[in-house]
Amino acid sequence: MSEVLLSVENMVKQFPIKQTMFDVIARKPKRYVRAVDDVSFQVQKGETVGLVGESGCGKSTLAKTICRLHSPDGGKVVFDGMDMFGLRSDELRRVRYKMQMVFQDPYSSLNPRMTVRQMLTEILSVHKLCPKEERTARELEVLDMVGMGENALDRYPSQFSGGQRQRINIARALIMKPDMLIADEPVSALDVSIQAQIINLLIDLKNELDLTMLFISHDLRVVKYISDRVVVMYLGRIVEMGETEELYESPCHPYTDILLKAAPEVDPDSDGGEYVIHGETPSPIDIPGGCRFHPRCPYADEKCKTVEPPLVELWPGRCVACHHRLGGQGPA
Amino acid sequence: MKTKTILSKKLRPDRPYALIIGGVMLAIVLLMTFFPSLFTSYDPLEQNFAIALKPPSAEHIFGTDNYGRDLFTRVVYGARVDLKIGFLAMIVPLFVGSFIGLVAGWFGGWVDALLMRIQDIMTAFPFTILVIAIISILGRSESNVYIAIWLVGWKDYTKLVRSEVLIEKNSEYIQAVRSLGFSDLRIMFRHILPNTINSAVVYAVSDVMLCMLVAASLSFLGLGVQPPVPEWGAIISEGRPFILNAWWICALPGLALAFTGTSLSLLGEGISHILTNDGRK
Repeated sequence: MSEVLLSVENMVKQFPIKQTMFDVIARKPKRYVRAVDDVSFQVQKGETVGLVGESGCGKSTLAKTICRLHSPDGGKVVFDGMDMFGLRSDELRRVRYKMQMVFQDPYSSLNPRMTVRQMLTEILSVHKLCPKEERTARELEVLDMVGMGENALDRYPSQFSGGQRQRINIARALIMKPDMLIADEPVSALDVSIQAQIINLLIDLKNELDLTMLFISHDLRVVKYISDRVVVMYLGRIVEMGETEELYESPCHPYTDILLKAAPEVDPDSDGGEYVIHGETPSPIDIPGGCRFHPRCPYADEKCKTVEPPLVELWPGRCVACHHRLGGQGPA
Repeated sequence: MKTKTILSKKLRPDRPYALIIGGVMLAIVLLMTFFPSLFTSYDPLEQNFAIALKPPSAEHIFGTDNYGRDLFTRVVYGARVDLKIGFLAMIVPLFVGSFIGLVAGWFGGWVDALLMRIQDIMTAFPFTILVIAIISILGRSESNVYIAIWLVGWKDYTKLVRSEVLIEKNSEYIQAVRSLGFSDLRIMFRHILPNTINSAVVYAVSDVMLCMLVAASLSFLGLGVQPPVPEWGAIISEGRPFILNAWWICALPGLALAFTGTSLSLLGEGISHILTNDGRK
């Protein structure tokens, strides 16, 4: 059993909905979007965990709250033995580079007024972990890792393509030699051909640098390709998690099952039946009672409408939150 | 639209015409400021009642005023006074106002609410009225003109910078530097300010003109620069009683104001083109 690098326990993050003056006068209760609602999971050192779910299910919020880019509303994050939510802001500043993020949009995630060199040098000088004379060498080393050359150093972000920018983003995240990389949909804004390059780059870097990675995506194929384990989120909660192979072979939660069936497959022998999830994701403001998935679930019954199923561990490493779990027993 | 296409055929749009023309015009004014004796051999304060209220001629190209002073000389020497007022009155609000906007936008919450309400209250009064009120409290003098404009002028920069900070602070590159453990001060000044200061700088260039106009209006009302100092607004004010038979005393210093104003707004436009260019040619 390898050691746990990141442990998220009962994390809650909610955003208040802005009230109008009339709401305040009428004393309407403050309402919240519960973006992340009581989420717990662990990431072992050296593994890649894929986090999947539809847009709006709280994946990015979860990632940003782990990094404390959002302040949490509850729960605990223990990273490398440190209680991330308990750190004072100056302590946090000194350690947060150990967990770095790669963002979704390569166009807005680089400061348009700084050259690559200025960007990287600033990081090294702020943390003072690298002597002045070795800075350029380190910058070149990290650019080389992401497959870019010396000529990139003195150029501005606008002079690069989307894929190149994402490489620079990765270089920025890696220059401080972090233990963990959180990739928040790093390829969803890129062309398919570039996507493959970036994914392969991430896999190479992970092996080379012994990185631990939390990989967030709504693209199931990408997640299958890169992850050791997969966590499936629905409306701010984890509905299922397990080893990638196992989870893709025999999903236990109806939502996972439908997600997998709905993903387009390049397989000439498949029957080509299109599978559609009925209805839309309910609003995270008015979360349905009972099981959150019941309005869209083909197996839902009376119990699902009233009792919320807990996340139970079926066997080590495999958890599911459903009254009618698939696989083995099959639907009731 | 049609005129635009005709124009763009003759003019190369990649040339910074506004910057060049504005720069040349301002250079003339600056030359007057630093070397007024290059333009005229008269003394701006020397009175000669024998030639009072003479219309423009070869000897006195802008004519003379009611004291027989050469008007062109007074306008040339006035450039120094007016530009000094314009720049000094602009520079402090540019820095202070931008800083307040940066703080309000970045920290948000009650800091933002407080600063913005103060700003709202000041916006509720017309600019000139507020300046006049402050000067009447402080007393008439040139330095009080500055203080009054400083006290009122910061709010425009605050508004401009704050609104841009609000956009920038949620962008992903700011989140990235936050997650790298940079301090608030570093993020504010190294990352947010360079990306939000553009509009304030562009506004500042034309604000020089606005400050000059306010100062000129104050002189016109007798609240600003006191006679016999040659200030354009003051000259216009002094010429007012004679406007029916000596139009040049009001019109020609006004032309100087318009000339300087045009140069500054052209310059502002040119600078905004350069500042919005982020490496793309």
